[in-house]
Amino acid sequence: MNKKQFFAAPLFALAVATGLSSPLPRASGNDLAHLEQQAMQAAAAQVADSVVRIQCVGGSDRVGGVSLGKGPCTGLVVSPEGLIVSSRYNFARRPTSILVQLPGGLNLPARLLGADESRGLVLLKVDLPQGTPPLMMPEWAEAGSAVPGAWALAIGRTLDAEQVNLSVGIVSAVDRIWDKAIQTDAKISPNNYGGPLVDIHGRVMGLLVPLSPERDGNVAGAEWYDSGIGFAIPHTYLQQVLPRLKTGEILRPGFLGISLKKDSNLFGIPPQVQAVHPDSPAAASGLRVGDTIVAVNRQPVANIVEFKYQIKPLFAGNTVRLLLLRGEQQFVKEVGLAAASKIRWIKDPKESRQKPSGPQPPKPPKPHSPQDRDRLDRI
Amino acid sequence: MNLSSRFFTLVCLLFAVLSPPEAVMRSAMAMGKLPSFASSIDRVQPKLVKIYGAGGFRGLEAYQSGFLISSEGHVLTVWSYVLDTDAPTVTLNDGRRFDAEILGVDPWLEIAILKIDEENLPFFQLSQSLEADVGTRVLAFSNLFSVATGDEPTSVQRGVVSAVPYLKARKGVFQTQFNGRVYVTDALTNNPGAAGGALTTIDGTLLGMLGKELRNRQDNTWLNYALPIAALRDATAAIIAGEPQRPREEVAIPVRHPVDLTGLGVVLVPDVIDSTPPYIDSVRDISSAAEAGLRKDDLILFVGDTLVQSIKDVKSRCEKFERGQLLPLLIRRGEELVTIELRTLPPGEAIR
Repeated sequence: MNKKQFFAAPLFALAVATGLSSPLPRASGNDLAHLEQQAMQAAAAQVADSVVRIQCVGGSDRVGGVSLGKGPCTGLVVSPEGLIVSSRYNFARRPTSILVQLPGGLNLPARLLGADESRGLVLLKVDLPQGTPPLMMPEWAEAGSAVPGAWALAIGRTLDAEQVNLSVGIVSAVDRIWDKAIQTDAKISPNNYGGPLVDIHGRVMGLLVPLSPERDGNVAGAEWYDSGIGFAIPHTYLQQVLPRLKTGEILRPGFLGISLKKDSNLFGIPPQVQAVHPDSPAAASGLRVGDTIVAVNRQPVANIVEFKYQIKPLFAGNTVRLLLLRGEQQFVKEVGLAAASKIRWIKDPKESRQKPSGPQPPKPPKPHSPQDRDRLDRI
Repeated sequence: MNLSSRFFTLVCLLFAVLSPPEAVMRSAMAMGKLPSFASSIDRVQPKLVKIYGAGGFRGLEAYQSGFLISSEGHVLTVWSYVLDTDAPTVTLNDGRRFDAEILGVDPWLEIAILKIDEENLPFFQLSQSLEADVGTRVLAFSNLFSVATGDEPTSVQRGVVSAVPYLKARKGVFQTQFNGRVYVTDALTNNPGAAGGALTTIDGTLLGMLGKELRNRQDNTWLNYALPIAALRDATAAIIAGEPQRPREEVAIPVRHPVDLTGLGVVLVPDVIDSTPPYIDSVRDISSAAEAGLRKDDLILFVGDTLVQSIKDVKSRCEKFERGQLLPLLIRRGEELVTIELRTLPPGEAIR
């Protein structure tokens, strides 16, 4: 091989490669933008076969003051044998019947298997008829790869049965809503609740759900739809709870049954018990008004925020080890957390009905009804 | 070009192939040319106009957007109450104001063409618009919230085409007339004054016209959408040519003898709530329903190829079928889906 040929071969390959990778030849300075566009479309295509369309029949139209509409919604395949996760928002209407439409168009009846009410996830099961190919699993993003600034694409199959719908943004933050969620500025709405948030390679980073830092409930957080503040439950967490959801478990957020001493600055004061609610784990374990919580599960908590980061991700049934300070004395209490519904919450007469603060979408729906509101200060 | 600069170019190209985005960024920076949408925006803005007319009450803004589609001052915009005035005002990108004539409207598409008396204007050639698919990056130009006045350019938003679905929208409680495919974007264009604006590619090529403020009928969210230019081309040409209004495209053929499930032996559960699921309460002994194998407690999911979510849905769907045809139903029976075809009797033939 002479010198000329030596250079010619790679140059030819180069010419072919560049020719293939830029089908939109433009003289403008937009080449990077076009390459990004191709990457976004390829990412959506990569995950599309794992994104299913879900339709519901029956149930109520208004839940917690929100009109839900009857349209289709989205789910994500998590096992080839027919397990699908979605957002509980999509089933807030309590449908009589659920249908899953596979990407190929086949409709299958589905049943609700389990739920995680702390993160707003539900697990559905469809029975694949004989001869149906196994469902297509998505690729998972590497743990820790969802970092602020990374591309984040929100995928749904709500607007169109044939093609997934796509909204593009970045990862805005991680460990949000008391360590539960990835935050993104992609437009998250009923059009993609239950669908995946994927990276620029189409690998699933998390599952899109409405979440609120201030409230709990089936539709909490939906008032922020399309606002640029959206949430996804990390897939690492999903894999962790999947075995429990498969057995039909319903995971509920865990509560101690206390209210904390209020302060406008959540970082300002250590968590101090203001009220111990009756019939609660805290009451049963002998927590008292005035106790200061120093550590949770051996993790020191210096303020209310740190305390919530420890408690809020936990479930009813979990046991926490609290290090308390009562007067001069420190002691340890093991407390088993309970579901909010098991506790007799006493209303604090000084409580004022404050409207939730924070950014609002351009056209927020009506605020939620009070019964849908799980207040921030109940722990 | 000397050897070292040639080598540099080669290295840049290699980078471009191996790892496109970062390398293109780097080489673009090396050439002192950062990728941006600026030149596209510069080319598009002179074609946009701000339109002022009737309104100005609570919730009814007296302004909207539009764009030039001829060098002689034809402006394409949405047909709305803003145009309920003798002469709406059109303000060009350079700040010049004109009283416009309403040349014509298409009530089905809800578009209007205005004409101003001026020549040699920059414009979008409708015949050169492109069609976009999901993931196409877009720019949306409009005078949302009337932020721009006089010679201020319109506001530009950035996003992608999220989907190209059939429009299933409502305005208040009314369904919209247009139900073709639209571009739904993840740019929030659903704002007062944005209707009539332009949706373009990042190169500034026209894709669509931003639509009115509508809600998605299916999930009750606000829709950010644009009507594809291809859907507007014929109507626009007809209005400019002064042709009479074309008839609505889809004229439903009335069903003369609609199917009634009760007549076929199907008794549904009492319709007591807003959306009672269509469960079968009983099946009459000698009937089409019994013959086809329908049973008590079956849930009707599809009539034909349409999902039915309530007894009301079932009734209105069945009324679209002429008697004498087979009526295909998809039934949920326990954990099973069953397809059933109901024989419907032609009119005149009595049911035994």
